[in-house]
Amino acid sequence: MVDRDDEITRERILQWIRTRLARTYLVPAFFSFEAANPLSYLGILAFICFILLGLTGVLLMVYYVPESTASYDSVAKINDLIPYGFEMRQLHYWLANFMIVLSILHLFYLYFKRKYRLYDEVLWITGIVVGLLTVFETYTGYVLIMNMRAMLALDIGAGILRNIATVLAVLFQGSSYNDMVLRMYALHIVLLPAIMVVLFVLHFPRKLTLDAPVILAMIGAAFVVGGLAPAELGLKFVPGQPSMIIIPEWYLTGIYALLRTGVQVFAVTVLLPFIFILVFVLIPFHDMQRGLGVTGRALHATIGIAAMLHIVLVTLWGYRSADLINPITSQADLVINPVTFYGLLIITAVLIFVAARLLMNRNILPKVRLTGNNRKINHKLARPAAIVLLAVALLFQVSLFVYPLYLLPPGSKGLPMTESGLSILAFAAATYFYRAAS
Amino acid sequence: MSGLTVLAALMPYGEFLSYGSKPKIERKKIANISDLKPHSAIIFQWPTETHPYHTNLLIRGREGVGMGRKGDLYAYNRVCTHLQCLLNYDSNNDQIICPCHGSVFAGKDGNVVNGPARKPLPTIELEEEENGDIYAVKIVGEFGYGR
Repeated sequence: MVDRDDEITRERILQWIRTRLARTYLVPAFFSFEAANPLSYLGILAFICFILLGLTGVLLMVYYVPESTASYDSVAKINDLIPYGFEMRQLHYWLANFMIVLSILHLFYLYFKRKYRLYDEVLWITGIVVGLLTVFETYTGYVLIMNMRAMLALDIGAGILRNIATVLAVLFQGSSYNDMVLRMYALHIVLLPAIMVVLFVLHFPRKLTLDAPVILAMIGAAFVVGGLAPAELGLKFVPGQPSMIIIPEWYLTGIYALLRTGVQVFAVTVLLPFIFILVFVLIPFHDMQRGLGVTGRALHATIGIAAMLHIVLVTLWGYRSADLINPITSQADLVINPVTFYGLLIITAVLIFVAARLLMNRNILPKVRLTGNNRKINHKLARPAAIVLLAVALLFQVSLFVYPLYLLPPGSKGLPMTESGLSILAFAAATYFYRAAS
Repeated sequence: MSGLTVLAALMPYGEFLSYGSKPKIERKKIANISDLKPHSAIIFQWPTETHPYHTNLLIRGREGVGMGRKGDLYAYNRVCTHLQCLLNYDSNNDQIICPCHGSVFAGKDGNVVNGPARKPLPTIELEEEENGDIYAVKIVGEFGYGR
């Protein structure tokens, strides 16, 4: 509970800070620190991931060795030997995954809200470009470990570039494994992040929401999953050893599935993704109709829903054998019949269109008219309830100190990290309920 | 116009990033016949140890149609012609298979048997000396991209 005088003092201090920040160039009261619908600021969460990735990345650079024969061992050393190296690496890995997921959700949320038109076109297109760069950035990161999976990804990356222009493959590869690692390193730590920062500056909208409890919860979640599902080191790549079936990272399994259909490489790795992205780039120029967020058109709904479904379907297919049900167990499972694959994609898109058309024509799906600003959410709880929940969160935090989780089952490396994560989550909940109570 | 001239003059600067990508190919000993059991394969790096595409398969297969004193030696670049993954030798079927996207090549000539690859594997010409030393001499095709 807050004393009245305390509250006034706090308000005055905050007011003092706010008015002074308002005189600066970038901050000018564009940040809102109030509770808001998290779906409305997924982009900010992704950006915070980016900042944290920069921090953890710089720390990892202290021990990482960008040299083809030494990089695997240096990552293994970070993971197994350096104090908190494991935590640092897992945070870097999981925040990158969070960033991709948040960016995809951010895109689709804004798509269905039609927040890409009426002066938002530049924000929309820079968003798509920075999203693509995010995937390239994670790719250049996951190959740096030089395990067998990294080498496969590098070979395939060079192969795809070769299908665009030979010179690109040469620029990508240089003349040795070592050249390749150093080039990926330069891209990963300097070039791509620098371009991304420039694009972020162009992509920031006028109003930014920073909601401390949600940001804390996201960081806590990264600690928890990092501890529970740590990224493995994989097998070290040694030139001249037999290769094996290795599935790429989840955000590339879609391309992997497309390649396994055997259709010409350029068509499936460059042309198809390009057309897919082009639809989203061009949508603001097609959907010019005025009015706030009328999501009542079958084509609009179909593009959004089919795109989401196809991303999920194709990504899952990367993990599965040709029939989409059984896991990949042998060489023969790799080849996917292109007729079934592309047939299914086309049929689902058509079915979604027909369904959307029928439902909308018969008014079964309401043509939602969204009102102006629905960013703000009502976060006020009944004061007693909020205080009880605050107490529960704090008690949970204390209990983590009294009974540290990692003392319970023996040995598991990720548990201290999970425990830190739970503590951060409890803190996030505490700040949320504290605000709700005041 | 003046800008284009400058661009043209700066084009060769691209070589900065492609240094060493055209290696010299030299005859080199890669194995001795005693290292290879019948119906097996070994992997050798040639002509350099460090280029990602300079990894190759030396197969001791069916006698008579291949290279070497008994005609039982076959050698191919080990990089898949579909998307440059690294291939393995399957001695049961005398095939070379790709673990990435499922291409299959024949052990006897490096031609495509199955899968998304279209171009046959580059073959490496071998010489076997009296003492059984096997030398790689030259490549037919291009490392990493097929014949």
